[in-house]
Amino acid sequence: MVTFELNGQIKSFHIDQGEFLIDTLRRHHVVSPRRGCDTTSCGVCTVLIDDQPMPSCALLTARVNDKKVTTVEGIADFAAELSAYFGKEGADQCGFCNPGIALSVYAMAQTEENIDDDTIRHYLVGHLCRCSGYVSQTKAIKAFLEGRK
Amino acid sequence: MNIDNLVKPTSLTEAYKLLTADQSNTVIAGGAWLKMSKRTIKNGIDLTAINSLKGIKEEADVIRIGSMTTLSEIERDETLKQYYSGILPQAIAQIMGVGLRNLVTIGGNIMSKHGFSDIATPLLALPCTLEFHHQGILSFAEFIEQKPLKKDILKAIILEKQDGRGYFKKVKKTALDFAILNLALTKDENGFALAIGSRPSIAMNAKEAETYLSQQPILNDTVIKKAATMALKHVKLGDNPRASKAYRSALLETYMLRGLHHLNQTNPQEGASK
Ligand SMILES: Cc1cc2nc3c(=O)[nH]c(=O)nc-3n(C[C@H](O)[C@H](O)[C@H](O)COP(=O)(O)OP(=O)(O)OC[C@H]3O[C@@H](n4cnc5c(N)ncnc54)[C@H](O)[C@@H]3O)c2cc1C
Repeated sequence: MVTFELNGQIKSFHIDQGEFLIDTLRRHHVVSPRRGCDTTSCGVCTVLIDDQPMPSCALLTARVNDKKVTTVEGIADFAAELSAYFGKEGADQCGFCNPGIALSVYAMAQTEENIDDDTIRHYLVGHLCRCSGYVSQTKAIKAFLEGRK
Repeated sequence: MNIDNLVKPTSLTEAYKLLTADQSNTVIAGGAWLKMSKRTIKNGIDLTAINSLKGIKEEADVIRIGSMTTLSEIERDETLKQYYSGILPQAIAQIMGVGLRNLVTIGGNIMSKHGFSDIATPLLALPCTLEFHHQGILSFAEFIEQKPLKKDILKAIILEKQDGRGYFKKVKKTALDFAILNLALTKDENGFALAIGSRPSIAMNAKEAETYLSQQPILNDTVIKKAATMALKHVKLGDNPRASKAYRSALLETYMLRGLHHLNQTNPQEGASK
């Protein structure tokens, strides 16, 4: 049994010893962390653990006991606002990578001061998007952060 | 990876006892590399409850990096950013993305002995030793040569405090790719150190070139070229699907020249890859 805070609510789950967080979440219908490469390379399974992005496909669920786990549902307003900027810049097509990116942008906004293009690129590395070329995403994130000031 | 049972020891003695109790018992650090293996692990030994393995501590003569310190913690550490022009955090910042670096550990990287390791190369060019629970202190070079790897727990990476300057270059095709070649150069009062990694085998020192460079009163173009020729002769490079031996040789020569010029000219805190 593992207990953690999921998007602001305390939850307990029965788990197998070697189970990964993505499997626990998806089994309980939290499906915004997507299964992509399943080898920590693509970023679509990203969640926040105590506000830091991590790939849930390689994180043992047993390790998040007593921690705070955030999926995109936990930052719904922030993500909705960001996605409007993505739309304006034509920054996405299929949207599969967006929940992971939104969580990383959220963590970046919490952690970094003086965010410039390099900071944004630094956080986008590790999020594979095969629709865009990252330029429009960088522009959208920059405009979004400007808009929040 | 399949784990039958996950154990969370709170002391190193307990962890070591478990590790040596059964051949399939395995230490789990970040778990990201193990995750990709097909192994079944009888007892997974989760080191996260052993506090002495975590974090970076500055002591009188050394900097100790606990084996369970994440790559992100090293990347952001202010002391390490100043140490030998910050080549260790610079190398780490080029490994995959922020998410992976928040999860994986320096101990997991070292103990995996990856040929492509971006960490082994700078560590071989720094005054560094490894502290194990059972074997005690080993030099990084001794550890690399150890085959097969003894079952033990890496406690810490110990960096000797010295005034030195450094240069690190990772050559890769895309942001997420493994290196085609890694090169680290350092200079301090003991002379030069030069390490080449992703050859594609695990990193090694270019000893002859190090000795030659350390004996020269000045670094001019002739000396630099001769040192590069020596490194090319003694460092074993090879082919793999990422690059040919010939391409790696050209890279080694190019970045060795740039690195030496860089160390010769720039101020001590600039170790940026050029
Ligand atoms: C998709 C992907 C891409 C990567 N790209 C790069 C790259 O470009 N450059 C690079 O340098 N690295 C790269 N890595 C490797 C990464 O940096 C780590 O080396 C790797 O994930 C292992 O670290 P870990 O903490 O996950 O260790 P684990 O997977 O938990 O362990 C790895 C091995 O080390 C052993 N071990 C761990 N800690 C200890 C200890 N304290 N004492 C004894 N044994 C121990 C384990 O038993 C296991 O055998 C990549 C990893 C992944 C998953």
